[in-house]
Amino acid sequence: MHLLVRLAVRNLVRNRRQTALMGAIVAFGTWAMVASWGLTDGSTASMVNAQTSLDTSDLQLHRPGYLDDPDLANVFSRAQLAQLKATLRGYKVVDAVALRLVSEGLLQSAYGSQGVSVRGVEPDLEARVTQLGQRVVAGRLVSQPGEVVLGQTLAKKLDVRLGERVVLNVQGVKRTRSEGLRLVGVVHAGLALLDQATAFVHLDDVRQLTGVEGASDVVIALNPGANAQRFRQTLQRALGDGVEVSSVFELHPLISAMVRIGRFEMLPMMLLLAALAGFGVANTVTFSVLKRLREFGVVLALGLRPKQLARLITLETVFVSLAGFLVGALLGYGLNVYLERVGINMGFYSGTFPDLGIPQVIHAKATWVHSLYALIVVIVTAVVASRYPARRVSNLEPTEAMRYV
Amino acid sequence: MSKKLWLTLVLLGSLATGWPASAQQRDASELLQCAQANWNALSFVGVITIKVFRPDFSNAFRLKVWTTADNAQAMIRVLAPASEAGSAYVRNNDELWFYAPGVGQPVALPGSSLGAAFFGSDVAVEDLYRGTLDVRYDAKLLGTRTDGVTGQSVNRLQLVPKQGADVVYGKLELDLDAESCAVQHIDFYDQRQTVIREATFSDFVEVKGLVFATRSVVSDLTQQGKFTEEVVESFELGTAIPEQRFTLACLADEARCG
Amino acid sequence: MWLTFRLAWRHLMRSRRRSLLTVLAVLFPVLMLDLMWGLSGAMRRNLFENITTLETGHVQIHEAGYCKQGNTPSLIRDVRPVLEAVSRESAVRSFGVRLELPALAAHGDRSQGVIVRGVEPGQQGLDTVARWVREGRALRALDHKVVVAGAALLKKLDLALGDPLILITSHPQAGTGVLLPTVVGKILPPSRELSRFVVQVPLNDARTLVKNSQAATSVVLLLSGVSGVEDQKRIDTVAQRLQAALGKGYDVETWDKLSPETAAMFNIMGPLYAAFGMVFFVLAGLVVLNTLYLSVVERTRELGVVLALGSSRRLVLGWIETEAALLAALGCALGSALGVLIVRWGGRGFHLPGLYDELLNTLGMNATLYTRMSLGEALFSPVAMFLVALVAAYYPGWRAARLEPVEAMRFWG
Repeated sequence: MHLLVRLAVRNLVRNRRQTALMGAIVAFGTWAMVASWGLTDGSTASMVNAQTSLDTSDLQLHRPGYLDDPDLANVFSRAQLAQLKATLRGYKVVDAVALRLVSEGLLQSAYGSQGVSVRGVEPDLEARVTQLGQRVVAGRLVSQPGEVVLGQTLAKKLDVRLGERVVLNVQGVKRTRSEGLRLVGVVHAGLALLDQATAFVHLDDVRQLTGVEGASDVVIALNPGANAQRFRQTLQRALGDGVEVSSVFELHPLISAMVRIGRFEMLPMMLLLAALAGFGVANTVTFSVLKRLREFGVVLALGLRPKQLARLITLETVFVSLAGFLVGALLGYGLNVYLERVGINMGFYSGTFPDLGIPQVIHAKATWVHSLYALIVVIVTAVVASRYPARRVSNLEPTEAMRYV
Repeated sequence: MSKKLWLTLVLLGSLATGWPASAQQRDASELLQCAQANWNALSFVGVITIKVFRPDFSNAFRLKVWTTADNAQAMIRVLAPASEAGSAYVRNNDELWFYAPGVGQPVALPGSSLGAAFFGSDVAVEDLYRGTLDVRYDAKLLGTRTDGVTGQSVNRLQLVPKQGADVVYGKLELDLDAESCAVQHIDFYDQRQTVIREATFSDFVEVKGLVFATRSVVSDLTQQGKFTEEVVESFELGTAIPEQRFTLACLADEARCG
Repeated sequence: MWLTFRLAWRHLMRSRRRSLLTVLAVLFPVLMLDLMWGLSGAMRRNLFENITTLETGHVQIHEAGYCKQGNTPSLIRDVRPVLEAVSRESAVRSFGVRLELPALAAHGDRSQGVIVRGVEPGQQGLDTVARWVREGRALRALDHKVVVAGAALLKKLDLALGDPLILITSHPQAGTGVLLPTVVGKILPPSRELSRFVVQVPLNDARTLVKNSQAATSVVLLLSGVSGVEDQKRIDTVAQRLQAALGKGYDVETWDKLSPETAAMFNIMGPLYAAFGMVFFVLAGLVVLNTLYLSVVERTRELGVVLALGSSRRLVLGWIETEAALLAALGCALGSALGVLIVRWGGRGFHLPGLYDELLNTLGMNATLYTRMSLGEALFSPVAMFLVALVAAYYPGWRAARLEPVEAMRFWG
């Protein structure tokens, strides 16, 4: 075996140009795979990130059944909230916890009215679980009771300007109340639900309007880089049946579906790519073998067994592929890292659709996992690609081969 | 139905003054109290016709209305048009129920759903009539003038919403008859110094020492040809209304209204 | 010239295996390129089709000023002139009439604000709600006084199949409307909001709510000859024609105006797919390059002999190029033919095995893919690869021809 390895390496070094070309094919194929995986993962992550950073945050807690039927009678009591907060404090991975009380309501201005989702927040804590403050286009976020912030589309539709009063009518558990609130800010999140149908108010205002103490949502932000899915399971186990722990995927099932579809769409394309690269490798190896038939004849005559010769071919192919893989994977990973930091500027599109908050920049995601997938593909392809030539070679008659022109 | 229109009807029927003649230099808040004192005074039972006008169509409704003296309970039965006849609304404090012959059972209405549009016409008269004005507004007397036609003195009162009041207007300006405190005209301003609605009251009738407007026209000034006219055909003030009137059983069946 | 050709041909025939390998080396990349175009086109079209038929259609017609007033959409009072104009427009494949109203759904002492959508069941390709039915059934033609509602709504109001649902609407132009349909179907849409707010009734029942048997809020159109975002021009043209035919009283809007987020998504997908196509193309080019290059380099010694025997360098180079051209042409033609055939076959509809399919189905989307290639794409791959092959053969051939015959004969490559 050791002999074969040395022979393989020596052969490759001797036919430098050929080796380089074959390596280039593998390198390019690998780079393509790693880069497109990185880009796909990155763009889906960007989409998910928009939702988590502006709306849902990493995790949320609700009473069982609340998500399917948001009833104000089914919210956390003050006592339960105190307990939950205490429990959450025990986890180092939890960065911040904020409470929300959400209700349906009617928002009225002098020029029209619309049903909205009323989101009562705690200003200081809310700012630590979401970054909506970065999407303020006018004014600021709510800081005290009596204030309201609206999505840009909604403010436009009801024709409300900063500083003007709007009336919010909210249906509580046992009563319905109205209050005049002053518009202190307008946001443009790029998320339809927030921009078109949400009124952000102070938590105390919603509590007073609905007559409900406590909170409907407990919003949790985790440390950057924490794995929300894994912690979700841990937390759910710890909290038991009385609480439902959800991540953005449970809160917005459509997003989860879109992400998975995006990933699956890549697979057939990757297969085609691998097939093409594999073919290229196979072709090159075959040519190279044909070219060296005389040499092989000599070697066989000198005593190398046909099976060993076949293995030699395979080894050569695998080594070149590995070398190509390394180059391609490094380049691909490098590109992903660069794109992760800098991102691809989608400004062109944000301009075409000024009403949407398309992220200016889409980032790639660089993980070694992509390279691992690519490696598996490369090795499998190399082995498969070398099968025909290797088999062909193992049946060689030494004398016939030596006379090959 | 919307509390706005609801209370509009209720209070239109009871708009009068509770203070007898000649009070001289009354200050703004006294005038306001004067104008609205009636809303807390007497019960109202009457028949009202509402005509809704829009640029391309118009609708007319004929309603029978009952309200208690404290406005805590009220009921409306629709008499016409035929397509809506028999449907009814009842309000007990914060609970609002609706019934239509086609439905067969009373339906609870959420306070905020569908808002103003519910009665089949968008509401022409706004929150001025929702409960007590002095809770929501601060009053200021702008001045007194003499009406050229009638020769009567008219007080102009400015109402500015209090902090956090649940009104969409920037301010209201009322013309009150100096003698009787009857409201003759209201200008509704948005928060940009523009009058967006106005209400005019006429055909005053004196009943039990109260001056009562039986006709009102409320116009939406943001659109041509958009206004609502309300005429009180017949009414009684201060009669005792049986408790059953405001029950769900009565809502569903007029025969069980006591 | 003719000599060159004969030389080339004889040589190719003599080393058949090598020739075959080279042909394959061109055929395969061209084929792969075609498959890639076909597949990516199929996926994009599938997404476009699902998203447009789900909600917006390709074009919608509303009363002018539709969305302006607060909550209540303005009614098309008589939809017949609209339908006439639509039927005169030959590009319309199918259309659906909808009447949507905000309403109150009630039962006992519970109520919920909903959107009632009156549709004509079976409007081809526009009735996605039917795919979300989990219990009971979807609406059918000739249905009367029935309703299909979201699971969350039914749960909140404590209703089961067979129970009556009270629907109350009020519209400025029509007064109060009341409907008491029986629940025949429970749907589970992919989003919670839809599950709570969507209520579907037969169009004629919805019309009784506004007391107008010809009313509608929108007419939704699907156009023929439109399968993807690349057909946007056609959509725009048809929309303009309809707007002109209907006049100022109506708003004719295309799907991208109605759903800008979706349009934005496709606009982002476009260049991403194009980039991937480029990568594929480069890889294919590399493979072709590799093979042709090697096949020429390999024969440098042989060329040396020929040169030594006295033939001109130009002849030799011409010979090389002709061989390469013949092989490449054959490979490109065969590869293209095969590719087009497979894409045509895929164009009849196929399913990707596994999770992709399942996922789409749970979302209520049609999972059938149809491959299709534009003429440009079909021509591009063979032509491009042919050119690459020629270039690939040129360099080594030129180099070989420039060597001294003796050097060439000893060339080991």
